[in-house]
Amino acid sequence: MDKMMKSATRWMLCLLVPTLIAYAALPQWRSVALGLALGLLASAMNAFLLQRRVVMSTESAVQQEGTRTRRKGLGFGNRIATVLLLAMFGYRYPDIINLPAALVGSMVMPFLILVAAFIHTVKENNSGKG
Amino acid sequence: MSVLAAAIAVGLGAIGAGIGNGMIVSKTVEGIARQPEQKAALQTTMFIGAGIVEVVPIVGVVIGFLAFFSA
Repeated sequence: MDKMMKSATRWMLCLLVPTLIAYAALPQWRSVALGLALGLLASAMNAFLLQRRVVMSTESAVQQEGTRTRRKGLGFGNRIATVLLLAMFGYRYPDIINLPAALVGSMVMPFLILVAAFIHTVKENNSGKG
Repeated sequence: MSVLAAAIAVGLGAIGAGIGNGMIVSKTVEGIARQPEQKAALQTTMFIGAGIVEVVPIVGVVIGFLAFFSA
């Protein structure tokens, strides 16, 4: 999972660079670029939080009965609150942050993870065949 | 009408995410309890599934809030 997250994070940073260049170079697209950049950062933070909570909740499944720490949920409220905060900023300051761009940016990281996992699985399967 | 739109967006998103996440987590924990040596692979599968499932209700909640407050 760490290798997959590393490659997904690398791709996310590769997507973040053009948005920052567009923010600096294209003044009329500045709000769209900032919305996309903040959405990408929010989705990356959500992905890291989800990774941590998945590890915590599955670790508790293999622990012994007496030492088991109870974990409830996967932190869904935290992730909703992150995206909602970004959406509220976009709603309050539409000339600084474009709201549709922020929402699109906040949906990117799970699909990057899906593509990274697919490529990782194909590589692993091909490496075993010789 | 905006209250109804927000309720439908949030409610249907919550139903889908609840059923999907519940199935993902229960099957993963069941699999890890049965085969602890497969923990890393099952964690990865659960992470991908939960990430994809939770995108739709998150956007649904945001759209619901926007429909509620912009009226």
